Amino acid sequence: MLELDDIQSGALHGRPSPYAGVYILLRIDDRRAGREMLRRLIPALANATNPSDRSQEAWVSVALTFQGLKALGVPQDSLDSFPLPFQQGMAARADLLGDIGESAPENWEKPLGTSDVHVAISALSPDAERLESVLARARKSFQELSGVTALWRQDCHALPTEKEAFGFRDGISHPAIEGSGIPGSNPQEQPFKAGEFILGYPDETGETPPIPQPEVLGRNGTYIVFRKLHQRVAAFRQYLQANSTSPEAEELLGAKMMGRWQSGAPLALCPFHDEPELGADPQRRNNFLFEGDDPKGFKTPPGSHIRRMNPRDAQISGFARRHRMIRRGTSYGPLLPPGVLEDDGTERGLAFVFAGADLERQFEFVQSEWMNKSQFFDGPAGDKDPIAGANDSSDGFTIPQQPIRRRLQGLPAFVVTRGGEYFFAPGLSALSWLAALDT
Amino acid sequence: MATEEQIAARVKRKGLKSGLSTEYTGFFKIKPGHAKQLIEGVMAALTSRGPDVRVSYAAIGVYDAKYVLFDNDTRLLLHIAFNNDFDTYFDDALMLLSGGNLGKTGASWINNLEGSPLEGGKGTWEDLKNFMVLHQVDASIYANTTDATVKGVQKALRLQKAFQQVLDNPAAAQALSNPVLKPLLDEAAS
Repeated sequence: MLELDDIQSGALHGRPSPYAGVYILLRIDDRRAGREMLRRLIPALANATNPSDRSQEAWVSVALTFQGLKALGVPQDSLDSFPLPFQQGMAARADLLGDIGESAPENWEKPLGTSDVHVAISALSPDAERLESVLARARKSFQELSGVTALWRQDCHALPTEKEAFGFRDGISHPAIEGSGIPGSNPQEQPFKAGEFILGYPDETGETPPIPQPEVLGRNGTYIVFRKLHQRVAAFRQYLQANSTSPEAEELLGAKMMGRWQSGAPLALCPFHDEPELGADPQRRNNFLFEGDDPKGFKTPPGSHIRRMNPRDAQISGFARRHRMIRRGTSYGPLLPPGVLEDDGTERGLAFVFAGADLERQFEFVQSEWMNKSQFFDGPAGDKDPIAGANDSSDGFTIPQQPIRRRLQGLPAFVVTRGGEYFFAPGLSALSWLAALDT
Repeated sequence: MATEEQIAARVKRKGLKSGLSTEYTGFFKIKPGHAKQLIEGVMAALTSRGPDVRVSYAAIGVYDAKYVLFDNDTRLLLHIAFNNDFDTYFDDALMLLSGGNLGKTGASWINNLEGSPLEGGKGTWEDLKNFMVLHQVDASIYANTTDATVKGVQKALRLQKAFQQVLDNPAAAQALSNPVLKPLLDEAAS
């Protein structure tokens, strides 16, 4: 039985639409002040009960990096019980994640990727007014507290259209989790064992994997990945235009790269033209599989973004259900106006958030094997995700079609990593345990 | 939970790579008199997803695998060659080796080995992973000549079959004379 009243809401809860949100990063210079901050913050946190209750649409979550746990004075044997990728942090895993060149940690926006980032507080709300009141509650926890310093703030939002900077509807797919009461977005996908996402429960193997110790610290926690991803919208539009003969062909090419039309309607269900009503229908727009209907990818290319990120039942190397993740994208920055093809120098993109029980098996695997390689579906060597992959203009993208496949060359990177961190979002009991440490 | 020594072993040992292929070689001691149960148990795990072991292995990108009993059935050599990185696909590989059913019938073959971490229904996925890694020995020399993934080999064979069907048609010579098809014509003479 999932202990929903001990799990932070942000770990499981879908987000309101539209919404406004803020991420704040803090450094703990004095462990006692850090614990006091947690004590003040705990009453402001929401738990995951009644996930479908729309009155719970504004909430605060908190998560800690490994450096943050150290700064709070967590005992060494407990620190040692955390998995290696979390201990090392995202910047140390850059090569594996494809964060090289312009996306490399030395080019990240500070303080992301430094040992200064200890705590992340996020506040989400359906609108800016309610966000301010939620944020005020969160701020009380660290304001006027010497020994805890706010370092960085990122505002973000989901528009009423639910579209991200490239123009595609985002936030469509969500796995069902046994015992959470939250329905999945794909009726054809079996619910996942809770242990795939929340620590302390059996996962898809039927086993309960080891969790950080003591039990009270690990149980009901989850790992959170935060990545700030800049989107080169003008470059993306230029690429579509340069490789198309008409606006309709541009739209189709974009859809082939994404696996969905801009409305969110999937190629799997409407391969030839967009169906905005389908894209707007949460009951239908994710109700599909790949293998039976489209094994070769004539509708949804095997190399397209959504088929890489969630291959569903497609024949791939390995077991897709062991690499499923909860993903929540959030936009930041203003949209590039429609039709503009020149870069305006403005920062815009996605605040990517992952939630799951295993950074290595889920997030890192998907990033290295499914996003930045193609061996898993036997795609052309070197090909990467055409939307989000670490492309460098030397790679391409194949669109299966009869009689002859179309091959696009010279894909540049449309997404650049501005920074990121690995966090642990403890359960509420764990936060109380942390706040009560007396080391 | 993994000890530092186990984590270090996991980081360090990745098996040898050759082209796209990685090898895993492990040596294990078999409990006295358990050789027969061991092999039967492995087969049961491997066929839990279907009767053809090769289909199960291909699904995980394994080129070939061998289980060798030696020293009068007291020891097991396990060698697997696969088209993925070792650490990255470790979990997927263990799903196959245990029939995806750890601690139950699928993984019972492990209990025929000395030091099995699953003895008495105990042990976790992580324990099994550490057990495999701690018994791993890197090959000194390893070569794989395919330069393709398992799926790539399968596709190449399908293409070859299709190409031969084309060549069986008397009209193929004329059809392949189109300059666009020159790379195919170059392969058509033999």
